[in-house]
Amino acid sequence: MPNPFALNTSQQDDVSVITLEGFVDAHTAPQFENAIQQAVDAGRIRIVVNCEKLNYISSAGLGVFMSFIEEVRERGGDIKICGLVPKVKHTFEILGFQDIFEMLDDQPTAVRNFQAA
Amino acid sequence: MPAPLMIAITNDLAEIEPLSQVINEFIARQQLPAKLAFELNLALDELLTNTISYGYEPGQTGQTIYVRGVLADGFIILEIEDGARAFNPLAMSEPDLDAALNERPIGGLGIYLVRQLMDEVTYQRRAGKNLLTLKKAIPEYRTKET
Repeated sequence: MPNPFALNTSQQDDVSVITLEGFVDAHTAPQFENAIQQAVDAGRIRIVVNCEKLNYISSAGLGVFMSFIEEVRERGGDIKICGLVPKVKHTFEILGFQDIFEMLDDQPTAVRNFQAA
Repeated sequence: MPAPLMIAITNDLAEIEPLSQVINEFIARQQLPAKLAFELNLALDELLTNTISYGYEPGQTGQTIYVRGVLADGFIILEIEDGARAFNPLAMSEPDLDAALNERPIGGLGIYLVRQLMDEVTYQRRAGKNLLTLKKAIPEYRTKET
């Protein structure tokens, strides 16, 4: 069953939430990259990427997380990942993302996690 | 033995997602687990993305890439054949996933994923074509045959 790519951004207090849906590959990853870039450019460096509806990601999408995390942390922010379904989480884990990124169960937990910091 | 899989796509990144649907249907028809289709799609995606992104001259569109698959002897074997410039992705060095954050490479992650997901990956340059062969054991398939 096709599950096309979709991306939504929203703001929850001072946390930017980027919701990914469907299929993130080299064709669609630039849209994800633009969304994070826009948040970072606007100084919104507390970012949650909601992956509840993400059912596929390749290294092109994973590379987007990697390309921003250092800058965001240097500026006092973070990128947290939430809602990964097991098969997609496995892809993140093969590349050791669990050692770099906080992975939380759902969006409320991820947002709360920022606010508690 | 089930009918082999033969697909032709063009060198356009937009073709990878529809290809994954064909792989999903092929694996479902053999009553094999969706997890297998997911892993095959990821491996194919990484290799095809490399070829499509870096293997052709700018503007060199409409080039055909063949993806073939067969189930045999408890394995699935996939082949990617393209006419892009000679390139062996397996010759790239492996990324150091233990490196400090600012020293971690972004490139090379895709090939690393392919190696982790497949049991065997080989590259040949044959008759002016790149030929990548992916092999993965399917214990479920062997059980079904016997």
